[in-house]
Amino acid sequence: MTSKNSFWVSLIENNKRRIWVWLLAAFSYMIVYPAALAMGISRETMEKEYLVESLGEELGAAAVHSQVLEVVKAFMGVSDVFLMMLAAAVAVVSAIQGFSYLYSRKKIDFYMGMPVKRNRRFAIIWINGVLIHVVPQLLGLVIAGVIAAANGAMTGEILRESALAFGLRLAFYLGVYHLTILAVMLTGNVIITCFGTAVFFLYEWAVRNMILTYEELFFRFFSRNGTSSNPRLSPFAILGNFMDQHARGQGSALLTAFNLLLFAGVVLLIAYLCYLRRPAEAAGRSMAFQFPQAFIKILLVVPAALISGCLVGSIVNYQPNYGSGSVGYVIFTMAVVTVAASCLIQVLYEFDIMGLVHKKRHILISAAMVAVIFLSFRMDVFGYDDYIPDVESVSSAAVVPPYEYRYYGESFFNENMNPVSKVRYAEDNMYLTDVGAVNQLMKISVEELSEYEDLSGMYEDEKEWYEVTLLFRLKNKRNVYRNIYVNVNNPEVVELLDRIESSKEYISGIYAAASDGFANMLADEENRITVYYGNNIYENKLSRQEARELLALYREDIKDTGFSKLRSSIPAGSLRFSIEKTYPLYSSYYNMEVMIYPFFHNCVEYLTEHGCYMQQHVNPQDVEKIQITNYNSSVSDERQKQWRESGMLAQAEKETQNMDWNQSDYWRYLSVDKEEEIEELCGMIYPGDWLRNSFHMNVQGDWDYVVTVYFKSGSQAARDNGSVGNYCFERGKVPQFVVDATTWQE
Amino acid sequence: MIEIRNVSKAFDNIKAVDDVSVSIKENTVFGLIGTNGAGKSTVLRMVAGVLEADAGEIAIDGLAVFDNMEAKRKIYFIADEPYFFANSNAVNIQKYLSTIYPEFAVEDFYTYLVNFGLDKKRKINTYSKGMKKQLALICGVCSNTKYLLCDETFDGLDPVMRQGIKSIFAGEMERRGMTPVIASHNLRELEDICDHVGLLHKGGVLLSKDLEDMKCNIQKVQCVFKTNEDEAKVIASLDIMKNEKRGSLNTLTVRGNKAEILAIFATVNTIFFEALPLSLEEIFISETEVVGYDIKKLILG
Repeated sequence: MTSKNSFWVSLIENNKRRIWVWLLAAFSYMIVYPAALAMGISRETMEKEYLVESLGEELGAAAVHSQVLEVVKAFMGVSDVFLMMLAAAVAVVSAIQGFSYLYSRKKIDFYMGMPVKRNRRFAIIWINGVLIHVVPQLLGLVIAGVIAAANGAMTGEILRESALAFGLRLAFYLGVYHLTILAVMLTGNVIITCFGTAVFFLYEWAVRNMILTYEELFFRFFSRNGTSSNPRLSPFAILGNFMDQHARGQGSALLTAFNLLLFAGVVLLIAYLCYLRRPAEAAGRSMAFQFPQAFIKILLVVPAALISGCLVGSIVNYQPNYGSGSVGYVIFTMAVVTVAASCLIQVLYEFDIMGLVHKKRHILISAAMVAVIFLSFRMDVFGYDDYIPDVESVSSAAVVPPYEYRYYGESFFNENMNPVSKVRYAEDNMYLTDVGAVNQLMKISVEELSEYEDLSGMYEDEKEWYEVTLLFRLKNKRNVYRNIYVNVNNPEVVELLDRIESSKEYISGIYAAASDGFANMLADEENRITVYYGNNIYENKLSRQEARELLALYREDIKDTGFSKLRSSIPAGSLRFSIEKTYPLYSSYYNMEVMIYPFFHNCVEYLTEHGCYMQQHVNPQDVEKIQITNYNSSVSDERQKQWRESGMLAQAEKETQNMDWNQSDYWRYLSVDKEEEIEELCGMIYPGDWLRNSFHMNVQGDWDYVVTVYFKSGSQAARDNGSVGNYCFERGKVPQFVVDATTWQE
Repeated sequence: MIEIRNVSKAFDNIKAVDDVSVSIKENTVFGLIGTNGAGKSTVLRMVAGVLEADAGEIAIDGLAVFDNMEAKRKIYFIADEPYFFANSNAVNIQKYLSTIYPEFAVEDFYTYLVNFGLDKKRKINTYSKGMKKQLALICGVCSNTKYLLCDETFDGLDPVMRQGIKSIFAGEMERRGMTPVIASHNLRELEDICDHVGLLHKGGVLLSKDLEDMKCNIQKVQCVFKTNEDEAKVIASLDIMKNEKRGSLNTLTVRGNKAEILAIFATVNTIFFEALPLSLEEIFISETEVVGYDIKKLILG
């Protein structure tokens, strides 16, 4: 006698008991979401003044309109994380509330005693759960559309993208909704369901992170690049991967929606089968089914023990690669957590504290698994560190040098001008064909490091080590990443790096400012980019036109570069691109700082013509006086050493404290105000942070000397930097008269 | 007819119902008696199709009940703690049940509400426990299902209310052949309602008998015999289940027809003779003692 009519009546009746979930969804989608959009639009329009001032009335208004469009697109388009998270929250609540009758024996007796088919009841609850998302969200989108239209920011493109985003969100919602339903079906009360839902969402992520942490802990050449802790079996991960790709202008929303639907469909099928098999007596218990309990327990206990081992390892600084910390703490922790977690889960299963002493066999199985996994990492059973890809098996490679110190920062942008990491940039842009050089570089690294039992020993030698990331793109489409250590004092290494870094593929793969994408970004006047040329003390603001011209010359100059050439040079100045990226609710600032070397002839010529280039890092005309402090630390250190060796510890300690409080007797000062001496000094000093020994700079400042330059009031230096500037000498190139005047003498 | 054949059910390896076989005839009031944990609720929940039996069969008019809508349409199950929607009133419940049971007697429902003094607009969560049970019974009766399963539903109902329910049951049984099945741990509560009683103990059925049959076949007599010969003659002639003697007063529980027993007593001289009515409790005590159980411990505590 069940008719279609009664189905709809049941649907409505079911909704009557879900009113608060409807209200929650309506509040999220119809109030919070449109309000956030309105705030985003308001924020952009408030900045109109700035744009009108910098671009003029017409261009400024157009820029504001364009930015409002971007905000609306961000809110209504596929990249809107905010609405996705609201959808996820609604999905979890809706799934748990919809099937919550399964937790209560009273409700089970009531509903299951009724002549209503189980599949029909499931369908009714499921459909209502979907409607709870769809109806308020559609209405919310209409409200948001009205707000956008009222601000003149509704276009056909936005409408299309909004429709696409709606579909993507629905697929994502279904993924989260079904996964939570599955958690409900497997558990018997709401607390355990919440725990189960969290496990579904986080388990794979936690296990992947655990594996990465162990790899990092035990493998010398491990690189996190190319690895991901993003789970595969999670709607959040599927969506997150798409968002990531979308930010780089890649990825298909339709394909992602399809993947999400596929995932959601499979999970729904499993959840439905569990629903049909779920015994009524499961209400109120922790787990609905008996048979998978041991399996689930072990799957939870083993990673919990291994993760706890990692955490305690980090607390006691357990780093086997560096011979640091004791493995005892780690093993003890893993043992304790194995027992504790196993007992705790058994207590939860039984809702009885006596569960602590039950199922001891599970503890033994878990402990054995923990031991096997831990030892497989510790002994590198799978030969991670020994693997060097054959040249024949590699189609191309990339070499990514370490990040280097920049006063303002070393940023990288993808082709859509979104910030990316240095490795990611190289991964997308560097395709070295000289695979042999890269292969050889790794072999040398492995060979050199094999001399050390642990990596702590390598820094005690005279060798100069840097961590370099290698990427081998194998012909079988697999990418192999390794972090190796290169000794730049090894001539063979230098020769290989010269080969690699002077290649076109390397230059186009690492110098982001020299890319077409960046040139296009700079050409687009709507992008908020301010350009300066200077040296951290002096700063010349360049017009966009000048910046474009200079960048074009830089792109020419950078072609003639190489490892040894850069390493032996001191930059003459730096070209800084300050980029403001606006997002719907906030802005971020990035700096791309490009070093200009004296051998960049085109740039030097252009900068000279425009009066920006400086032969030396301070203009003597700007200087009123220079004060130099010589710490004479070598003398001080030597004296302390002597005291310590002769047992005069108190005296040595006093000396150390004095050093800390700038009261050392060894400090000597020199004040220079003679014009000719100032001129001589100006040719030999560099801004405070300019000379930092790094991968690409084999020059170091002499930090025993502090050079304080007092600028004349009204000078350019005083305008750019204030009345005082900190400078340093290059090590080994301190003027003799300074040495003579400031060296401590007994 | 409800047929329960060799049904077993265990929860977490604990047997709640063990090989139970009972037949519940139509148009009778069946009482399912047992101590707490005897398996009454489990049996009823299995009959209602809420729980699936681990073994055995349960058939409602020949139809297997679990997940069978045709069979379930014949049943209305009132659980020991009846559930009503949060913040709902009697009208909400009636509307919901009307969508589930197409023959739901809406007019009767509101008439019963008035008769029982229940406010149809008042939120059910403000009802007393007894009022909720009354409402649940009204819902069950008005659903117009053939079988009404009541789990401890009469607990807490006052005698007047029980009498009211009894007369409703009688009316419905006469009108449409309704068959109430009532589970209770209290024998006294069922005495004036049930026609047939099944006794469950430790998951199994101790006995299942028609109450009238039991009443007709067991008599209680108090008498003082004139001589010892008279006493010996009567005792030898009767099927005595129990004989208590205090001084010269004999209290006999005797199996057999009342007329036959009276005829036997008529053949001897008695100083005092009286045939007493037996309560359900006494009948049960007698019946179960025969099979070796102390029913007082089982049912009456």
